[in-house]
Amino acid sequence: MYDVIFIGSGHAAWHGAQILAKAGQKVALVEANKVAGTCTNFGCNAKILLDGPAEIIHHLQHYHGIGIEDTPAIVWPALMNYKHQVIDPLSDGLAKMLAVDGIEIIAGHASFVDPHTINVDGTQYQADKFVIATGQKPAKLPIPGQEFTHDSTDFLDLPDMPKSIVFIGAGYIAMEFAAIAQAAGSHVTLVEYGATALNGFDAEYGQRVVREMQDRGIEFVFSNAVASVSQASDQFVVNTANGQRITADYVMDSTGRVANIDGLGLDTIGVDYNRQGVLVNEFLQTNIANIYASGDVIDKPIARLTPTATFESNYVASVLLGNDQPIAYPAVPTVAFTLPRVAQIGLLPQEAELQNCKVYKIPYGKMMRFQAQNDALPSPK
Amino acid sequence: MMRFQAQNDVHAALKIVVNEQRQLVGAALIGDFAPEVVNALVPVINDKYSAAKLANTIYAFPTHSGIVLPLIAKFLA
Ligand SMILES: Cc1cc2nc3c(=O)[nH]c(=O)nc-3n(C[C@H](O)[C@H](O)[C@H](O)COP(=O)(O)OP(=O)(O)OC[C@H]3O[C@@H](n4cnc5c(N)ncnc54)[C@H](O)[C@@H]3O)c2cc1C
Repeated sequence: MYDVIFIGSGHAAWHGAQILAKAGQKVALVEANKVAGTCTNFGCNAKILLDGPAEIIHHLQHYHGIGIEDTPAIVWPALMNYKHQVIDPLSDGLAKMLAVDGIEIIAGHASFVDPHTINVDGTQYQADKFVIATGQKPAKLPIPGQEFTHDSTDFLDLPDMPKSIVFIGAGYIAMEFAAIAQAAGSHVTLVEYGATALNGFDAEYGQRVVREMQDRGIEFVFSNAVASVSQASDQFVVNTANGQRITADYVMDSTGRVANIDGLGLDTIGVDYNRQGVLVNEFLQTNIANIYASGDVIDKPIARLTPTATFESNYVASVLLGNDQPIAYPAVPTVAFTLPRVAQIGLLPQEAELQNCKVYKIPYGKMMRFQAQNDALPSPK
Repeated sequence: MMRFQAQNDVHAALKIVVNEQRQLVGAALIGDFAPEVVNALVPVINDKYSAAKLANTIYAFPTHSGIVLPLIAKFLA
């Protein structure tokens, strides 16, 4: 019998598990895949490592004509080798660190049997409290030929950079990967159902990123629904409902992510959820009193990010140790590691007027000495 | 003022969102400086920084956050 079992071992789980273990509770994590979860193994960390050379090339290109002419080439297989060296040991490293704290790691897929019992590949475990921290997984477009598409995990493991790639979707993950792939020599096309890229960021800045990417040769097909993917000798063809056909060596479905709740037994025990994820109250508690949820798997209004998952994990631990205050999120900064980068915090400029707020534009990169005072005079949009 | 620091990233820019009390409540950034500078804005929002608070702070120079933070002071109460 455990005090608390976390289902999942990502940021939404292990930070809180550490707090509880250090407070003397008997804690376990159940993990079906790699300990440490998405960010560490298949997300942020691998991504920013692979982005490194692309970012440097982007910086160098700012000096074309004023001191640097050459654009170095990325040797992708060597970079991927380095990624494995750096990222692959992280999972075991975290498992060892958690073991030192007395946290048990149960390998396998958890499924609820009753509100106090889970089944992990045939063995039952009981706990007073559970925290569902199962995260999200890449969505798959329900279209003919979906078996030819790859996901973000596949991309972050590519042994060689394909000569051409089509990304379906133009959200932040697709846009970041497109920038990396282009810098590594691939011919990149993004096909987006909507009319814009980078939803959730300032609309004008999102368009500016698209323009800069276009200037570097990346192609965008907006307002086009992908209808099917087919095979043509050793390449693939992405067909849109409007009749466009784009041929490439590699197709990535980057249309979004969905809650990881398949086979979790939520219906068996009656935990409420919807398409966005598990429903929780302001204490991150589900409708079943002893079951909480944390991280990407929750249906929540704030961004699904590593720091928000960590914040929730720490918060759930505090509630389990007696905190009776509802969760209060501070401002959440978010960054798209596109080239150029974009970042956002708090109210979006496009939402400002509704809230009686003013927007001031500061042309940082164009501001010249002495002129700055004039440039920066308050000028509401 | 900042051209020497912006590493010729001439399109780098930001928009700040200020409420009726002239407190910072949001920001959008584009350019190489964006990831680090958005973090520098976190306490300005969370702790409702005043112009005086920023004016009485010394930041390293020339750095992106050290330039942007004093710059936004004039928009705050
Ligand atoms: C490509 C990519 C790039 C990203 N980049 C960033 C970034 O730059 N910055 C940022 O802040 N965020 C980024 N994110 C988002 C970030 O990775 C997530 O917000 C974060 O990992 C959420 O943590 P979590 O613990 O909720 O879920 P996860 O880390 O997904 O952990 C959930 C774990 O639960 C396990 N699991 C699921 N079901 C079961 C079950 N039934 N039994 C046992 N185990 C189960 C899964 O195997 C998984 O390991 C990125 C995500 C992706 C995919």
